[in-house]
Amino acid sequence: MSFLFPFALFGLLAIPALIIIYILRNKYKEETAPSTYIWEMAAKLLKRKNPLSRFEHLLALIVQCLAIAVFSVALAHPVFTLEGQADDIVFILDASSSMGMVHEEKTRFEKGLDLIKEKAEEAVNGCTFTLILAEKEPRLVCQNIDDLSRFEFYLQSESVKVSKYETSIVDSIALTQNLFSEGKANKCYLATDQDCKEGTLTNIEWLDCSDDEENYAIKAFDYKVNNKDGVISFNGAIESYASDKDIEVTFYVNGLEFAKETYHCDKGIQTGFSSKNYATLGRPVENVKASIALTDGLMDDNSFTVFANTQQVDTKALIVSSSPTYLEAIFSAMKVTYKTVSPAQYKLIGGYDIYVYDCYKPNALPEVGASMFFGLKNSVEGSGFLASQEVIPDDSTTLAWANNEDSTLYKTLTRGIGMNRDILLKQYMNYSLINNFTTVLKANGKPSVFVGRSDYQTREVIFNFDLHNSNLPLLYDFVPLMRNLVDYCKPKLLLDFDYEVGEKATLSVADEITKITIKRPDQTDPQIFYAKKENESVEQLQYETRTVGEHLITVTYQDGNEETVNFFVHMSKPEMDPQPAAQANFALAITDNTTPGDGILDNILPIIIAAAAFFAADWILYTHEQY
Amino acid sequence: MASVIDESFFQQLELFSLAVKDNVAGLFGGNHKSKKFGSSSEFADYRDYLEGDDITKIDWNIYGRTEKMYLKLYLDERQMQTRIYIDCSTSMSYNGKDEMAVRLAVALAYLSIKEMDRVSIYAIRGKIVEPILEKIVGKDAFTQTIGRINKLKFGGDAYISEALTRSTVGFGDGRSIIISDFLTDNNFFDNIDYLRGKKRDVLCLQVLSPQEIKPEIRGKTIIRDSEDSMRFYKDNIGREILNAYKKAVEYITSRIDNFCTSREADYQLVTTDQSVKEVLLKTLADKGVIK
Repeated sequence: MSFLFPFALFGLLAIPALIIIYILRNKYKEETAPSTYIWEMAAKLLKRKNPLSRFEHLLALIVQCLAIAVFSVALAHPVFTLEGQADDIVFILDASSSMGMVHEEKTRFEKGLDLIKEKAEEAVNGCTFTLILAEKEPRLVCQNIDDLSRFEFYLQSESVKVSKYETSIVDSIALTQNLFSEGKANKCYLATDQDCKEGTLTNIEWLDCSDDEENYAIKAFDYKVNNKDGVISFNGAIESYASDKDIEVTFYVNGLEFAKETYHCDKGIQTGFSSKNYATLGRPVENVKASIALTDGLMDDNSFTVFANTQQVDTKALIVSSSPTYLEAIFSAMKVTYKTVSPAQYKLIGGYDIYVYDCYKPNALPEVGASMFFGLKNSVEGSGFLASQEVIPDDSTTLAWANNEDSTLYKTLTRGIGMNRDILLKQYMNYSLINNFTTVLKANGKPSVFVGRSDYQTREVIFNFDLHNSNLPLLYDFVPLMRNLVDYCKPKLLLDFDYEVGEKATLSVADEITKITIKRPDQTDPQIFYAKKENESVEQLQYETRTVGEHLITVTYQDGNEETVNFFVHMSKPEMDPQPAAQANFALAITDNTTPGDGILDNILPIIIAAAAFFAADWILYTHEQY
Repeated sequence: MASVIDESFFQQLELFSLAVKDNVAGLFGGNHKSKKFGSSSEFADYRDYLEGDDITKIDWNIYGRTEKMYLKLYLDERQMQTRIYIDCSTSMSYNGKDEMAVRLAVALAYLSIKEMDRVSIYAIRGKIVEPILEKIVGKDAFTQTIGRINKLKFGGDAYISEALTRSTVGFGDGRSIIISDFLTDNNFFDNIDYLRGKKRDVLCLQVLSPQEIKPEIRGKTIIRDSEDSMRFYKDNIGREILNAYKKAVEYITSRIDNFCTSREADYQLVTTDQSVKEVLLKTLADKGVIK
């Protein structure tokens, strides 16, 4: 035990002073009565004197001394150490999307916060509190906070909120295990709506945030337009998680209510649906939306929007080749407008998006538009790479994919490619790269197919071989590869229009774009996402989706024109389940460092009450004696 | 003792006597009628005339109607003796008990004087009864002599029984009033028996102060007896002792009361915080001592 204000213990000196005063005042005083007859008679009537009454006159002194002692101790504010009784508690709070489900006007996340607060308030003084928010990645909100009010402040902070992601409790458990191992925690509570049945948790206590709230979800949705007869039909999947239900789905086309259909769902079973055929509006379909009319605890999964790809990209290509068969075939297949000229006829003229040089070295690079080189044997000034030597292997050389998974550009360029057939070369060139290029394919470890920027910041696609010296044009992968490369040369802003929350949308940024703004469904005003800086060339941007719903991208071009593109972000499907089963058996291992700390007991209220009781007892004794 | 009986007290006494007259007949029931027939003007009965009777007592009106001679009988009136004894021991000098004793004695004496009784007031001092006023008759004589009582001294012991048995107490011709605190080991019960044996009407007035009935002494105390300095009581006085004290007071007063009742004597406890008027008009009248 220690004291916060030990000087107050000097108050105990009042006790001996009180005893001295009592002794001085406790001498027999003399009185004279008319007659002692009555007193003597009283003494005779006092038959059996209570033995305790011998101490009766000391009782007041004893009580006074106790009152002084207890008051002094209370003023000194004693602090008791409760050895090994304080825990270092880690609270893991599930911030997954399903925790946003509303039940009795309170979200599960708020219920979890209440449960955590309750446990923290029950904890012995001296405990420390750590809060881990299980978001997409576990986030340590605060660590080993020993002040309850400060911990509650963290609980109420704006950063502690439910996310729209599917979260991983496992990662949070792993982080907690580190704290256990380092001796920074010895007790763990997990606040989640996941069904952590008995036996699924080891050394973890479950704070159950689940409930039996209704939830309906559109788990998949798409539409089909038959161009022949001009009808539209809808298909998808819905589910009712808590009960059997007839669910009415409303379909919207281009923002207008179009049709309603009702489907029966058995509890917990995903039900596919296909609508009737409906006549279209008579104009192109830009977006289609399905929405469940019923209200439930989680509204994020009650609608689903599909946006049509309405980007108007008209690509023009100039092919400079003496044998353009393969190139014409692929450009034709990709519906790219092209013109073919022989090297003798070639003159650098503007008006094309892509200049394809097939085994031909131009005198200069085009100032506007992308360049695509095949089997170039001599260096082109300003191209950013140098032709070094031609290689003719004894046997065919097999190209290898660069597998540069860290590069989003690489992933975009290899999108949709099966990579299941070998690409062989009979003859190719070795190039030395001066500028920063992204390699797609390698020949003997050296760049074979790569993309990048010239010295003039124009886009370039380089094949170090003549298509006629390769089996590539004969492979299925040639089509998607060429489509990706053409898209690189004249990029489309978005390739996908439907994302699961947490996924990153890749925005391909054309050179003419000066600004990109994105309006999220939870925001009233669009936020600037990209603004072009001088002499800056950006290939791609990644936009991480954080909220569920329709997003609007507005692109501003150099000439001042604007273009809008929409995409939809849907909720994670596992998060739609109101009572998902626990992802795994969560366990924390106890180590030698995992020990509780010492508790503190500094509540002086009982001491003050005791002192007041002694004081009151003394007063009662006094008044009883007097009257 | 300060001068208790003065002009203002007499004025109060006069007013008080008027109040007594309106409310009660008197100390001894008015005219002190004897059981014998006598010469008063109050008719009592008739009887047949006998030879030798005073013919002036014959009721001639009845003779006129009946031709028989009847003698009218009248009640005899006698002068009664009121003897008042004041305990003059030291214990009576505390807390105003002496003043109350004197005032009571004078007031009761005055009531008797108004009835034309003979009044004597005595002081009991040691084993002797000292006369202060003796056989006073009439208001003039009373007012001339009552001033002596102011010189009454309280002190020493008082042995009531021994003092009274040695004195002349009379026989059957009135009332004896003893005013004392009766806080003594000495036997005063024999005295009551003695007076009753002399056919005296006896009234015991026990005068106590509120401090004696409900003492305020607390804590460790040595209480010395006012009449005997060697006698003392020593204790740590607390609630338990005070409860026993209360019972002792009840025991002492009820013992005298019960004894008086058993001997057909009257008893009344008087406290010094009471007024004389209250004692006589209310307490004694309610009890029937004053009829």
